[in-house]
Amino acid sequence: MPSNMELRRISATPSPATGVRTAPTVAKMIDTTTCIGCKACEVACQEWNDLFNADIALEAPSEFGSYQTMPDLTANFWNLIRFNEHVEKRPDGSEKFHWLMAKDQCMHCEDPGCLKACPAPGAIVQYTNGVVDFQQEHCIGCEYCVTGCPFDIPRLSKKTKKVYKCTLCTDRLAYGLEPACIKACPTGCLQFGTKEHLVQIANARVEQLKHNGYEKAAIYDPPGVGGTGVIYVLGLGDQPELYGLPNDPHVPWTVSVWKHALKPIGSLLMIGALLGTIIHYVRYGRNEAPGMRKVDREEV
Amino acid sequence: MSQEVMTQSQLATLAREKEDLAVDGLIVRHTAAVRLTHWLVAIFFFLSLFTGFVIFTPFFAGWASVFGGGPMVRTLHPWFALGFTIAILYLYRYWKMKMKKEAGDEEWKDNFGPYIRYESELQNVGKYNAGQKIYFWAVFWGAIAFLASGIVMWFPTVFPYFLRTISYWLHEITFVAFVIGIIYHIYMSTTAMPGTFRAMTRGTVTKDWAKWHHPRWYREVTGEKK
Ligand code: HEM
Ligand code: SF4
Ligand code: SF4
Repeated sequence: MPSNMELRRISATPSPATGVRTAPTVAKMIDTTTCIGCKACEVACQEWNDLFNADIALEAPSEFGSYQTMPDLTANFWNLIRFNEHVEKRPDGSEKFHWLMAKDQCMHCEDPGCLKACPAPGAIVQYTNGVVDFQQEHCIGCEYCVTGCPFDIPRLSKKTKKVYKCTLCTDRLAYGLEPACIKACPTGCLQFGTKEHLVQIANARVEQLKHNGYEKAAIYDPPGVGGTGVIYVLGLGDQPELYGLPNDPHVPWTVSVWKHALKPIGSLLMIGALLGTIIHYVRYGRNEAPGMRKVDREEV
Repeated sequence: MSQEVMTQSQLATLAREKEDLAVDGLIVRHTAAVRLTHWLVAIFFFLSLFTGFVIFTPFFAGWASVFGGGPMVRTLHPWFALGFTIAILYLYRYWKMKMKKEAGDEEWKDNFGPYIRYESELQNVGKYNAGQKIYFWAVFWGAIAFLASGIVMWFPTVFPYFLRTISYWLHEITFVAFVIGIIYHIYMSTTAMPGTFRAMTRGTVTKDWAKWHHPRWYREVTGEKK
């Protein structure tokens, strides 16, 4: 196994993850300002992951009033170019229509809410290179991860009752190849590399955009989830919602309280109750009706 | 046939249909129907509990294999739990009148300290004491909380996000309360109070037991003044 298959985190497992070797954190960069909406990345994703199956046709409505391939991600469609429609109001009162292209897929969060929520040991792992991956053979199909994910990414397959999402082509990375979507992109708006390197490139691109009149241009690498393995360059960086991206995503606090407060406190209370009966028995013994014969006592 | 010469097996037959009946040193406490319902509640509760535990904590993940693996646990748990809910509804049918508040309950509650120290000398305690009634109603409303939150967790994406998070909390809190409740329920009905468990197996208790734990009920059933 290549070193990037070692684990940084693993769901619902009390013992530590297996990663002892270090690997650089990898990332994808998506420059939304140079995406032309050609959907080559979608095709490459479907192709590499062998997702041309009959279910896709059932999931895709023939018409839903958009240029998008699908209205939403599905268990068989992990990478969707969203054609976000935006009308810019100009200072002179005129209006200009824009498509704010955004490639929607798993963000490979540094602090993944899906993994925190998952109750099945080993069903969600984070490799030492930062990629978050679902291990369907361990998944029980409870959809806790759907509630844990701040980006609404995992999708349950009706057929297998397991969840699926972008793997960041971990099976390609393991052999030194870049993800399929990156390879297919004709404009270079998708790039792959170490996170450190890509943040530099993204920042340089943001400077360039600012210089060219996009004063609000910004990089999207939300700190609320510890940064993401997918970073965006946004032309309208002060309004990520226009791209369908949450403004300040976090692992939902309700999930953290559930997993880190309710569970440990509840477990202690249950163990305490058990100990309570023992203490009570030792202190007070049995409450036996006077006059009970031995045989009455033993009869069940 | 006079009651004095009735054999154990004849008594058992009787106990299937009638309760609150004194015969030959014994009192029929629960009819067969009530006992059967209670056992169904217990069985479905423990099936729900053990499947739930697998999901609750990875320390019990190994138990999944008892039910055929994690995905099977996920599939089975809500169905076991529906069995539990239905059994509880039947129990509710039998017990809703009997578990009503009555005179003496307040006195019992004020006397809780002596009760758990086995120092209580209350005489005005009926077939069910106030603690048992509170436990019954807690279980009834707890079952409803389990059902409401469980349905949302069964089909989470059908429901709005807010409801989902509330349900995970509610299911968890109800679960902890139930486990604490069941620990004391079983402790008190077996180890702590000898002679109690047979009320759920044979359906009968001894007169001594009844006079000691439920004195007013004893007087009502036997007609004795004291
Ligand atoms: C009608 C009532 C109920 C329904 C519909 C229901 C349904 C569910 C569902 C759908 C889940 C999510 C995991 C899974 O799918 O297996 C779940 C989790 C769970 N259930 Fe239930 N359930 C019910 C009653 C109960 C009862 C009676 C118990 C315990 C005695 C219980 C204990 C648990 C526990 C401990 C979990 C795991 C919670 C966690 O991971 O934090 N449930 N239930
Ligand atoms: S659906 Fe699968 S991956 Fe998601 S939380 Fe449940 S077990 Fe984990
Ligand atoms: S985007 Fe969602 S599914 Fe992807 S790693 Fe983050 S929390 Fe998990």
